[in-house]
Amino acid sequence: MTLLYNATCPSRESGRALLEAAGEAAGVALEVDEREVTADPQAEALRFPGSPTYHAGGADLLPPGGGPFRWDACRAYSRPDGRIAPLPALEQLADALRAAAAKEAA
Amino acid sequence: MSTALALGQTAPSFSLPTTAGGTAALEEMPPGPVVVTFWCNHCPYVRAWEDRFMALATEYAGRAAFVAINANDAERYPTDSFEDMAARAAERGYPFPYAHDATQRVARAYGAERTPEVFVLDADRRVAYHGTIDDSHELEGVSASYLREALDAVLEGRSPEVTDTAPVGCTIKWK
Repeated sequence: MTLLYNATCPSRESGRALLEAAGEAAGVALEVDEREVTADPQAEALRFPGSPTYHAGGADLLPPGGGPFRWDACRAYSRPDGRIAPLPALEQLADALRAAAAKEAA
Repeated sequence: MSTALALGQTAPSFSLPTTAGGTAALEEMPPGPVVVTFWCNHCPYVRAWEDRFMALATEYAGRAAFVAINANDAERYPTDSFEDMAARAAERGYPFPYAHDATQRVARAYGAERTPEVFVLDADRRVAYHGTIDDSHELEGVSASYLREALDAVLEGRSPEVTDTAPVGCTIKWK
C-alpha cells in the first residue's frame, strides 16, 4: 500500500491515520509506505488527483473521475452521504481495502 | 511563518469583479464588521466548510458583510475560472459576493496562503481575527466556532478571545 501525498496539503497525517483505522476495520493487514509528489509530470504519470491518494498494487483504491493531475492539489473525495471532503469516509476506505484484498487473493 | 496581516493592522482596500456582475469594494461595504474570506471552487476544504460559511453569512446578514475572494490560477486549476465561480455561486445560492482576484494582488496584500482563510475586520477595517472558520473541517468534530465568536465580539465592541488560528485548507495557487 502506498500513500501518495504532497507537502502542501494538511491531510498527510490524518490520511495515514484514517488508512490504518480502515485497515483495522476491514481486518486487512497493511504495509504502508509513503511517497511524496512534487511536480506536475510526476502527478500525471501517477494519475495523482491530489493528496492523499491511496494506491494498492499501483492502482488507485478509490478511482477518481480524472484530471487535471496537479502535484499541489488536495484530493476531493465524494462520500457516500453526498458530501465532498478532503478524506474519504472510514467505511468507504475500509470497503475499498476489502475489495483490494479479495482481488489480490483471487 | 505566516505572512498574513497582523492583528490590528488596517486591511488593504480592494475593488474586484463579482460573479453577480458588479464589484466588491471594501470601501463600499456597509458600516460594521466585514468578513473577507479567501475561497475557491476546487478545494475540498472549501467544500467541507461551504455550508457552515453560507449559514453564518445568512445568520449575520445586516450586521456584518461577507465577501469571498478567489485568487487561484485558473490555468492550472480550470474549475477556479471566473465562469466556474459564477456557476458555483448560482448553484449554491451564495449569500455573499464571490469576487475574482485575477491578478492575485489582493491575496498577496492580505498575506493569504490558503483557502478557506478568514479575516474579520472591525468597523474601522482593522484585523480583529484571522484564521480558520472553526476548528474542524468535519462538521461532527467542531468544538470551537472561531468566526462566530470573533463576529460576536466585534459586534459587542470587544476583542475576540481567540484572534489568530492557523488556516486549514489548500494553498492558494499562485501564478
